[in-house]
Amino acid sequence: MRTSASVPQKTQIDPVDIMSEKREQPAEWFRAAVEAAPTAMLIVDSQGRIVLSNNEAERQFAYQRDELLGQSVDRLVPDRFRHQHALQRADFHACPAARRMGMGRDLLGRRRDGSEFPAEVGLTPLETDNGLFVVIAIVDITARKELEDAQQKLSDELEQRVAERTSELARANEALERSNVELQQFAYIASHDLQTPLRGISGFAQLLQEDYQGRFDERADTYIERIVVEVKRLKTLIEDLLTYSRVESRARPFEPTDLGRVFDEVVATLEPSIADSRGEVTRGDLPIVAGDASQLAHLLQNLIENALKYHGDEPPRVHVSAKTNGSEWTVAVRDNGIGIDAKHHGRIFEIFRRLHTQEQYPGTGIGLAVCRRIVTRHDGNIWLKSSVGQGSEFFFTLADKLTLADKGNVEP
Amino acid sequence: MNDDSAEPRSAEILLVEDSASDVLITRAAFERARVIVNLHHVENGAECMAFLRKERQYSQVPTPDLILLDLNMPVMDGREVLAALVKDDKLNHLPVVVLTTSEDERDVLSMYKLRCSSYITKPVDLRQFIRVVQSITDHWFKIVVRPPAD
Repeated sequence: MRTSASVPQKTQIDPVDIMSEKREQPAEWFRAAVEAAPTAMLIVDSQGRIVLSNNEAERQFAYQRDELLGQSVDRLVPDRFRHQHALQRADFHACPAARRMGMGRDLLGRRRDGSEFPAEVGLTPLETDNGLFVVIAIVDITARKELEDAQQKLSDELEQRVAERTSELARANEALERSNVELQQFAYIASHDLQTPLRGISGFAQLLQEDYQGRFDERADTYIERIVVEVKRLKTLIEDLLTYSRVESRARPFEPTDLGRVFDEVVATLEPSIADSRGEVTRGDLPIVAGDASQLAHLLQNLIENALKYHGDEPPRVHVSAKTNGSEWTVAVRDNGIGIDAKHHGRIFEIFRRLHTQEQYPGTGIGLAVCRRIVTRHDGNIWLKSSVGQGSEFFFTLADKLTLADKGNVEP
Repeated sequence: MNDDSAEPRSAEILLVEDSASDVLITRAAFERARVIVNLHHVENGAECMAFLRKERQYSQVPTPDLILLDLNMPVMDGREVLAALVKDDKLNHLPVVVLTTSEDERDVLSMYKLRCSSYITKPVDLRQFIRVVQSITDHWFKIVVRPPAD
């Protein structure tokens, strides 16, 4: 085959040779190459008549060869594009250059039965002595289109899911803010609206007790005394509930806090009850951690108070120590008290959970619930090791770093 | 606020309080605190302002030495009274002790930056209430101590 590198493909093969029955070798080779091409190929003359087609073209458009040859190439596009196609063909002939047809547009091929398929079409002008011919290569891109469509659908779905999740998150955030506001309102109601009638009941019961003691009968005096006692208990419950809700509503930002100093202050506060119980409260080295100092004090105080309160025959011995694994401190509060049966360990941190009667050990069952709430706010865990008669050891963890994101104050 | 050379007189206190129970308990607390005070009572802020300005039926009342002001009241609440007092040149010198039911109320009040002389959280327990009343009178007045009851 005589070839040339000149551009555009000013071919040395004369299509007339192809069309003629001269059977010269180069023309025959060209025909064989076109025939074997895995791409549908057509050659059309300047009038748009098909002068050559290959197997793949016939297979794709579902025509017999003799049904194509001599026919206008326009019949291979859908009817509705036929007029436009003819005009574009004229434009191409006016300014022929190798290019892809329908850049940026979806092209459609039309099969013999009228069905359509998406196609990519390459056009190569062949200038010959007998005028301009065009080599047309057509690739059925149905599979690729399907893939693209599937990808698009997937990406649309993904986007929609992201949008859905985002709005879910926004809703959840809103609900959270609402519940925070409700918690604050609850704290206010508990502290104000419940206290007002309570003050009335408490005040008048005490007045009755003080001014009218012995002026009814003994039973009446007992009843009045019970009212005074129960109102005091109700007051303590409300105050405890308030303390519990304030772990969130009165939260202060985290700052580097010296647990050793916190311990020393707590022990100073507890000095009277330590002396009363002839107890001893000691500590090892305690770290500086990131936290809410007043809440950490509250936490240590509750644990130490419990350790002092639930002592056995021996005077209470309480020791607070800490160790780190590099990322987390574990603080331990160990006592020699009465211990806690393992079956209670799971629920002991629940609010108002009590293991003893008021007569044995008075209390409302709020202390450990507050402890857990404080530790949770500090992103830690709290648990215990204990068995009856063996003392108890409570543990809680705090991050071993001085800057800690406060879960209560998440950045927007 | 009291002149040592003057004849001792009982302190005039205006209690602005809508809760009948709290009025009774406050009176009882003053009695038990063994201090003689003239405790005047009005039910809301509007009556409080009329009392202080000696309007209507209040033309003959004394100017109180101290105002005990509840925060939450109908018609005109304690916050509004504080705001009105600040704007009144004749009244803005009067000491005001705000009675709150809880520390949370105090927080709310401090957010509004309202002027008042001090805050007292009304205790639920009568004994504590009496101690509070005692501390108010100790702080504000030359007290007239009553002889022990027995």
